[in-house]
Amino acid sequence: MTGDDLDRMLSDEDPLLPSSGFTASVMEAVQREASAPPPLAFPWRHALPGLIALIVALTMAVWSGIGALNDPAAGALVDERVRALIAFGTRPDIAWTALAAVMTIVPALLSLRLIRRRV
Amino acid sequence: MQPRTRPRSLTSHVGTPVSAEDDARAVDRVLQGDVAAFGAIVQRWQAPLVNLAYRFCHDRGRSEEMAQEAFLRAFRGLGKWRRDAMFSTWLFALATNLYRTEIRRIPPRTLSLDEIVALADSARTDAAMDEEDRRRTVRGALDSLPAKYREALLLFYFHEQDVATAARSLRLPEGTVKARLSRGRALLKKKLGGRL
Repeated sequence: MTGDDLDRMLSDEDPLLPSSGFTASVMEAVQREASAPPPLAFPWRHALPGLIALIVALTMAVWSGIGALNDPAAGALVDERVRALIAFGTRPDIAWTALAAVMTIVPALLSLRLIRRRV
Repeated sequence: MQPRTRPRSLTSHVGTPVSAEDDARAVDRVLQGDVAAFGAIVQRWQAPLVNLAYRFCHDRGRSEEMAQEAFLRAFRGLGKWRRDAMFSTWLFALATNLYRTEIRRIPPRTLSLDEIVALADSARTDAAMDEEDRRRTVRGALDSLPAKYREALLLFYFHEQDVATAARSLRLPEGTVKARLSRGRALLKKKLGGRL
């Protein structure tokens, strides 16, 4: 098979005519789109203070972490903090709260995922 | 779906000359709130967009669904069309991007080259492989190429072997498209070697 044969075969695709209702179907979808309320904008004005607080908190945490690593007593301090954290995490009320949070977040995420698939 | 006919060109509307000014005027009207003016754009570009989709998926029903989604996205994004390029260039790039994503998400069922050749063998009555069988085999080989080569070849032949237009549709530099075309053709010939 020559290059010309290949060119000819790949060029000569039998064209299709769209079905007679295609334009109407597209325009119906377009009209629906046009009459739908505009999507809600992300509330930056309300979220901004929280985002700034989060960035400040993260920066402070990283900064104090670096400071703690430079401290000779850092190992003991980290151990102590990890132990405190484990003790906190294994309290029964915390476990129940975490379970409740998971049971709230998982269905919410699943719903969002399903909606995204439909869109 | 109506019977197949052969328009003068896949990238121009069947029987009607395509004018860039007509597109710009229709877009202006839509942006001013005349939603119905979008119908003129759909009328003008439905055949090329459906045909391009068909080349990606080889399924008539799905190609119309994909083309409809491309028109919807174009409607939503009309304001983003910068008039430094023709409307058709923007529309084809948008549609191509959508079709590529769609095909990667749900690939069409493709037969292996051996299956295609076996089908052709069982169907033919004479000794020589007829034109339609050969074409089916070539298409099967094209479908089995890695996406980047398949898409470059597909767009190149859809745009009547115009590298620049294919590159604009794929939003890639011309050099990259030329390299992919060359590599894609070589792979295609290797796959087809001895089969035709």
